[in-house]
Amino acid sequence: MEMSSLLNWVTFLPALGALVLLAIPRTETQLVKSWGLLVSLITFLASIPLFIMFDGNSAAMQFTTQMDWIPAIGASYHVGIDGLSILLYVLTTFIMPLAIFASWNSITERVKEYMIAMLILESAMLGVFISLDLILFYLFWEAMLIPMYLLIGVWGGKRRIYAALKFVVYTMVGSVLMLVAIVFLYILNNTYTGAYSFDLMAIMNLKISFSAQIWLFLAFALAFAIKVPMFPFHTWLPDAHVEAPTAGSVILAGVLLKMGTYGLLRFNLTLFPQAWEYFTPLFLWLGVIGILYGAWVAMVQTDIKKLVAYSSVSHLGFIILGMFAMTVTSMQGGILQMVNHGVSSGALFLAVGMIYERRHTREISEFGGVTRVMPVFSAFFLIICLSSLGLPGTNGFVGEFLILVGSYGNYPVFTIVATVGIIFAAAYLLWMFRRVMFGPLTEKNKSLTDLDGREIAIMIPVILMIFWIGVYPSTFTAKTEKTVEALIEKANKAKAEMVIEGRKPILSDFLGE
Amino acid sequence: MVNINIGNADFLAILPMIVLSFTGIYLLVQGVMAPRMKKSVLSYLGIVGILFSIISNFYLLTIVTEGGQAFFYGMIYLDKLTIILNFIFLVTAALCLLLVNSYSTQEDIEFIEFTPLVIFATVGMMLMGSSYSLMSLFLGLETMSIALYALAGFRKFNRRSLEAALKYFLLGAFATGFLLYGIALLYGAAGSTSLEAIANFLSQNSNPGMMATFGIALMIIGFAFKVALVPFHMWTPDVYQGAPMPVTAFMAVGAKAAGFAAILRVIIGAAGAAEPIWSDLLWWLTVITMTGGNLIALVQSDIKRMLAYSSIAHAGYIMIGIVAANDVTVSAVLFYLIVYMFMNIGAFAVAGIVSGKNERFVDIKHYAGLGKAQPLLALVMTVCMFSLAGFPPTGGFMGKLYIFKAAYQSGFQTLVIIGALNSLLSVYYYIRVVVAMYFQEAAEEQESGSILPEVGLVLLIALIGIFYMGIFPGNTLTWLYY
Repeated sequence: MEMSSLLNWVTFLPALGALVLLAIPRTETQLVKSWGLLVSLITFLASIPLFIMFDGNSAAMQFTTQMDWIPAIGASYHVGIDGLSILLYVLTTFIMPLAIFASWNSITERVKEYMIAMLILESAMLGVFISLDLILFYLFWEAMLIPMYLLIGVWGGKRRIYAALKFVVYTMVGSVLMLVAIVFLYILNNTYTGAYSFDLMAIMNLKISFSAQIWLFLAFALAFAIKVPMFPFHTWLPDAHVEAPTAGSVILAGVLLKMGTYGLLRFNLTLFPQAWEYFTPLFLWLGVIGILYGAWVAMVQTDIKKLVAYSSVSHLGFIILGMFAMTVTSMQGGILQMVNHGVSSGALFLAVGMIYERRHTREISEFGGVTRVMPVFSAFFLIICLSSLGLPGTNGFVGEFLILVGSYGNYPVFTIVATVGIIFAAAYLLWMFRRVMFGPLTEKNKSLTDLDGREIAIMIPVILMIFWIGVYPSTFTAKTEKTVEALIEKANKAKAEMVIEGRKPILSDFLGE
Repeated sequence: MVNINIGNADFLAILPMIVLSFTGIYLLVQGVMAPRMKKSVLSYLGIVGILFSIISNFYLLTIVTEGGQAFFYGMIYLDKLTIILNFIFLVTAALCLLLVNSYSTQEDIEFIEFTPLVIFATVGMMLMGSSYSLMSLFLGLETMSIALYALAGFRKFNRRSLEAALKYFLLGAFATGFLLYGIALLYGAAGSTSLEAIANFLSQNSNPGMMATFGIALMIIGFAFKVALVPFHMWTPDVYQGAPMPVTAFMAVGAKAAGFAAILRVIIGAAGAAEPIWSDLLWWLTVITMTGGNLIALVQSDIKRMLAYSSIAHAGYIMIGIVAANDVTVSAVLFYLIVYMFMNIGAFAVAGIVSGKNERFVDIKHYAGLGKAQPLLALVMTVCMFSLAGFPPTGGFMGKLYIFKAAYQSGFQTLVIIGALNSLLSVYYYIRVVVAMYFQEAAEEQESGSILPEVGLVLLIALIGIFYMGIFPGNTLTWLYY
């Protein structure tokens, strides 16, 4: 099969699977679940050839398809994949079967609707990563919101309605202004070239004036910063995580947050490189504040899930640092860290879900001495915690190391401060681990059973991934290198133009570099 | 002595209206002559008449000339706009008639005159859409309005319904007064009621004088009443709430589309050259309509009132396209009207079934647990709500996109940003319905009426329409653009 048509098939396979689900009666819950798992597994397997065949020696878009979609306004179905998206694309297909398998027993009501929502969500997420047309991108971006909203709102915890609404309203605030900016770019493209097109590749070549770049950058960046979430737009995240069902949290941490960082690179950097330079100090500040703030708040949480949620704020701060430090190493680290965070935080939420299913509480103080009754679980949990805090040999180390090494040359002070964040990460994760897993075994925890075969089957691929990236990361970095180099080159050109035009970045006097 | 010479071509140009008028007259007679006949048959016969009218409308497509042509001594204009508007009115009427039987069974009232009234109102709308003279426009407007006044009061034993009819009649008459005054002034200035003559007059005089300016302003006020722009919207919530549900749907969609048809014909068409006169006025009307409608909708608990304020807000969005006043205005407005038809009829159809006898269950809290009790209804309602809020991949999103695009092209960036923020605001109240349906448990067991097949058909059409317009808008848009 042609690779480009395989890409289209993989993207829409889950949605087609959801259509078939409509025909299965709702009482056949076992069949519904198996079908959902099967579809997501096939999607994953089918996406592996994409990863293997992807040519890492090229920065160009690969496996592209371009078709007229709405000729009347010049919107096209233009998709393709490059070094920026290939890892995230495969990460999505990797995480979905795990998330579906993880909800095997915990979702007992409206199973059919649940599976439909999951599969449609998967198609929408995959679509976001491959869209090369701004309207197509926006369509997937928003389409993803509805199933996620339902996942939190229908199958969530006690305060789910509040959390779901907060999630939607926050995301909408950002994306509505992004839509305005998209239409503005479209009209701008028409003014310059006379053609009506939402095509990213066409709009990328526009010479946008500096002042327009500033506003457009802000409109796009707001949408993505909320999604990341960057400090101070992060307040929706803990609520959404805590109230979402386990699979929802896994997808939220594993994939959805990456869309923010991905969007920044894909749109803000490529479309508005000068504005990117201009705002770099601001984002570095916010990134580093996020690292420390997230870590500190995580430390005082009494709810394990909330702790993991705040750790995401901290980890995403690292990714922002890597992206805005603008060296090939730091940005590659940033992209790899997106995958790492997806795997590790996803796994943390899976683990939290497993003990929550047993005890129906996530309060740290309720646990203690769990190691003695759940030895297998504690081994997995420890590995995941260590990977999340960046122990050498695990994936977290590689990503954070690349980010810090790459950033140090340009921004030593920020890098040193960020390094402190790693220490805090060790503190809150290990402290949590000690309180939950060690200590005296309390009465309530005595009857806990260890992981069953299904749960082990969920954990094993994650653990494999953690060590694979930790030991041999070049499988993954080889795919991204050329794309990153091209991005950096583009940014450096913009930087040189900025110098010629005599413009200084915002807050540049406060950099202390 | 004027030699009046009306040929076959003139009658062919209004064939859909003729077919529909005869259907209406026939149904009136049939209803009286055969009182023992099952009343539901009347609405089916009405739908058959509408289908014939739709077929003759297709025939018009074959004879329409590029750029259009006037008939009946410049009273009627036949161009593609006429035909597209006809389709919108006819489909709206057909969908509403499909809802009537379910409603009349539920309410236990007999709707003998209902179908003929809907049909005559539709004829009036079509006349408005094809008018080429202020006289024929007024004729169409009154034909539509008088039928609607009667329809609003159809629940004869319900106070709300009677109040709605009276309010609608009084305020409507008032608006008509404004409109007539405007027509008179414009006629005085231009010396003719023909839209062509008015267009010529306005394009030749860059400063058309006080009389024409006031004429245009007063006509705008008249139209603003009909399409419910703030601050001329006061009647809308009460009338929508009081009128029977299918009538509310018909008014919210059909009458509003007719009002916009008149605005397209008169303001964009004839008074297009006088844009400096009305542009600022409409800009402000648009902003306060969107914002006002959305803000008040936030606090509504009655679904019909919520939808009423939502329809006001949507009139505001459509007005963005009117203010843009460029070559894509017509297609953007028509596209929005079509999407608006699908999503509102879908929403009102669901609301009609949920409301139960005497429309007791019209509060948003009555939708609690609907997702479990009636999954299909809840699904349609969810899609309609998301489409109204403007989420992709629904038609509501594409409609807003075209409207915004049109405004951008004319340089109304601020208006686009205000519109975008407004649609953000609207998410909150639309989503409340979804929250109730899926996230909340039903407080008490309420009777859940069964869904008649014809209502199911309406729901299906709404669903397909919304997604078709959202995912494959290209075909429709290419067709609308000319």
